[in-house]
Amino acid sequence: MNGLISIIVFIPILASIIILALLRNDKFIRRFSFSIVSIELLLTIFAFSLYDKAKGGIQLVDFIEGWIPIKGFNANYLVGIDGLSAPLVLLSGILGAAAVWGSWRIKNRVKEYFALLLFLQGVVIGVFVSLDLLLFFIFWEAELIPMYFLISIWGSGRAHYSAAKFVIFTLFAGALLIIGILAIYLSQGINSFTMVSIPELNLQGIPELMTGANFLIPVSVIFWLFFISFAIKLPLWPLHSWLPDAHTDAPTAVSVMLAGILLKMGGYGIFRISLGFFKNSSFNFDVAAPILVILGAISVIYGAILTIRQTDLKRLIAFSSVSHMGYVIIGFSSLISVVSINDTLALNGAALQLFTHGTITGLAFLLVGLVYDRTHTRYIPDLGGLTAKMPIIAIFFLIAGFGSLGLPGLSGFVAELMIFLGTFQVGNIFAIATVIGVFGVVLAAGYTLWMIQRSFFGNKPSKESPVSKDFEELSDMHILDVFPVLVLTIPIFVVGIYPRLLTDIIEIGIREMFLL
Amino acid sequence: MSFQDFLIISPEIVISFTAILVFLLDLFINDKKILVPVSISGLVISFILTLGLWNGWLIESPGIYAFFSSIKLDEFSLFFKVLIILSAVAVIGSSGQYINSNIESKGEFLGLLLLSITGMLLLVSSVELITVWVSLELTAIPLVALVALGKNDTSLEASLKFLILSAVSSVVILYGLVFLYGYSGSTYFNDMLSYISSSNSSPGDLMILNYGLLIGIILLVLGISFKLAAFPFQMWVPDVYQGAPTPITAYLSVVSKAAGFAVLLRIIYSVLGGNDFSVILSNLFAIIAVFSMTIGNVMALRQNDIKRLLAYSTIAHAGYLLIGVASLNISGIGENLYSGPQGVLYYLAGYAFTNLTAFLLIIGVSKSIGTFELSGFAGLRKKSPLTSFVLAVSVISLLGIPPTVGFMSKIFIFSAAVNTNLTWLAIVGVINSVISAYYYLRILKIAFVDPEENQSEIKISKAISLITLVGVI
Repeated sequence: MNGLISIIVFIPILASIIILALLRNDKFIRRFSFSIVSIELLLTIFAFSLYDKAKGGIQLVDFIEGWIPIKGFNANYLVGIDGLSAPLVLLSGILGAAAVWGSWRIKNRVKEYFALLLFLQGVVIGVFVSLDLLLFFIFWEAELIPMYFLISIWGSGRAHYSAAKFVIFTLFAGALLIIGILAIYLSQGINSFTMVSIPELNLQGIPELMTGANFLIPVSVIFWLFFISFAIKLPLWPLHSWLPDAHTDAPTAVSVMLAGILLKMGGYGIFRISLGFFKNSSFNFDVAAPILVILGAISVIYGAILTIRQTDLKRLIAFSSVSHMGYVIIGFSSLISVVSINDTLALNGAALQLFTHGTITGLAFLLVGLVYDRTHTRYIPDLGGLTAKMPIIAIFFLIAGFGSLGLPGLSGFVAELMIFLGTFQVGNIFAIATVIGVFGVVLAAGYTLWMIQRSFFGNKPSKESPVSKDFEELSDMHILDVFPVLVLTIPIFVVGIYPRLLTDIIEIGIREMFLL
Repeated sequence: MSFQDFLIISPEIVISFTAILVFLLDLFINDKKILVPVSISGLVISFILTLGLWNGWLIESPGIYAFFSSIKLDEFSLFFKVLIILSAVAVIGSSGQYINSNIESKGEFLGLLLLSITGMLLLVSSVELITVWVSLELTAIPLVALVALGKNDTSLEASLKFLILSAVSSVVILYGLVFLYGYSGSTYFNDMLSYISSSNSSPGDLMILNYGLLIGIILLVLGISFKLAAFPFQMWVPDVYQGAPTPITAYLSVVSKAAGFAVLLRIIYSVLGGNDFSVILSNLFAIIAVFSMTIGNVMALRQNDIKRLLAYSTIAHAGYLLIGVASLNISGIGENLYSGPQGVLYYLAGYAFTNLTAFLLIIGVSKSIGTFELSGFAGLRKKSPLTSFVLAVSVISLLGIPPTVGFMSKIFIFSAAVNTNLTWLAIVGVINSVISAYYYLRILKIAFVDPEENQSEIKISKAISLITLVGVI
């Protein structure tokens, strides 16, 4: 199936150009975008199912040599999926569909809105499937353009401030990233942008070349350049301050995309580059791993404590993302003890956490958007007793909340359990950090349940609340809202009940990073 | 002096004759509208001649000398000639309307501009100190008058500032050239190079020679920084850019800068090739680059006038370009792939297109809204979707985000820096481009997000927008 991955990347980008250049009717643009993301969803599911687990390695490769026509610049067009990126591509298909389907209420500047949203989906998938560093970086940066406009035009509150903050943080991450990329590329013995080895195409990837390379600048500097860059995107404490603002002020669909897949770009980078490249180099993880696990634990606890104190529904979920992404780093740090295939439990869990957090938090943001559309406020003390008026929204909100706090049977539990089990086994400081991390789950139960209790159950809003006046008129979910909600809920249950669907494939991806 | 010599400088001859023709026509013809087409046709003929020289239709193989070896025709100079002529065509062609309605003395405007272009063309191909000096003056003196041709007082003030600083920088350059001549005994680049590299004097003499040359080079670089709009001669840029007629601003920010970089690269590589100055020079350029970038970007943050904002952004871009110059690679121009000079050439070409687009749009838009204030651009999206789209593309390119030419240029420049062990400089550079995001985003925000304030129509030639758009991508 050559060409499938390229089609998946370029269908949304092409569609956005078509919308901008040709289409005029708002209604038609909406339907057109709906069908594009539906096709995209089917295609990503198809690509995911095509991945041959028995064979492993990089599959569905598209390769054009010498993509940038400059002599000696070894940049190729190289895309494909492996065990690590396949679930994330699937996730992007799901989230893209949910975001576009969930945007049917948008009335303002419809044309640009859908064009930008589709463009965003295309370039983010591009980040996950690129196997050439320059291509990876181009997609990584291109994502800024649609995000900036989406937040600052359709956002609320201090939209421009948040959009600019987001762009500047991400550009800073990109700045570190490009220096890291150039430092690796220009090092003697590498001179290649290829991120993985593909024997069928006779391509030697950077992971293989790192062992004998003679670096321009110390390898640990390169590692930290990459790591800080990804940590900003993830985001990891203390580099997280852009996230609450961007989430709070973004329109619903953009929050969904941001939490669902844009944060995962950072997580993906950590696995693909920080682990994949440096595991086989002279870089010594013995010093780095304890630092990582401590940062991860701080992120979990700090994020959770801040979450409890939030009074804005969206801001609350945004801060909980900081906490949840901390688990990824805790799990990631267990790479220090990997000697055989049985030790990758926590790493698998961390990669799975990327997927589960994407669906769970995406769902939560979508539902907050629905609530906000009706009540016109996200201020928790103004809400209350919403179950009476919107029972279906409440049920789905409970699912998202329980998924987020790690209820067994839902996908969040599986990922977190794997991370805790795997990292605890490493011992020493890792065990301590894991114990601290587990308390994050307790706090998560606290903030999630308290938030749901205050906004959905309990008394009706008090007289002073702006909601109380129209409380009787509040309506439940519209039939059109069911599709985006369901497309996010189904994976939560499926992965919760049968996690091997994803863990088997993730395991292949992780394993290949260690055994060359 | 043979006929071939004249063929080699035929593009320059054509343009200078066009300038004289424009002056004469201005005296005898009442319909001044004909002047713009005349100037453009002169430029086009000269462009065809340049292409002819490049492809060997007129004379054999590039890389030959003319006029007693004071002019060299090689791919380097041809690249710059093409760049300069194309930019000049864009400037004059797109501002025809502006010239017809805003400039009273049209003949002088066009004629002087053409003379200045002639100077630039000579400058990029001269390989002899006196020729360099004469061409520099030929480019600078008409510009002083051109800056003054705007209708308002700020234009006069700008012109005076430009005159004084231009004179100071000329003197500094001349002083540097004197040092170079005094210590190497020749005004020809080739002789200087062979003298320097074959000097078999005692170590003590060599040191004196080196210091003498070094002082000369440093003075020269400082003087040329005036042309580049780089630190330490960057103070004139915002005032002059704001006061000058907008086509002249565009010309200054693109053509003048390109010519400055051409002469800088030429002197570094053909006079100092293989010398042990490289470390000192590299540090010198690195320092200038750091200051230019930082001053430009930080000052641009608070600007409300679009021309001033772009002026500071020009200073910052001179800084990025100097990163490429600092990444000295003595093996020669264009031989090593990741070499700084190649990055500089690529960056200049991309920057020329992008910045010209931005300025041309501003000429069109501000003519309709009657102000250069940033707030005047509010609601541009609604009034003219295509214009605002092109503006967005050019701003994104200046910021250096893919898929624009600005992105690839920055990659080239930074990879050259990393490759020559100037990683710290590359880091300063990328952090500076992050700072620049703030003010570039403000332009986008005002054009795309803010509601419109006045109802004035914005008319701009769609053709121009489209052509420039293609250029940017």
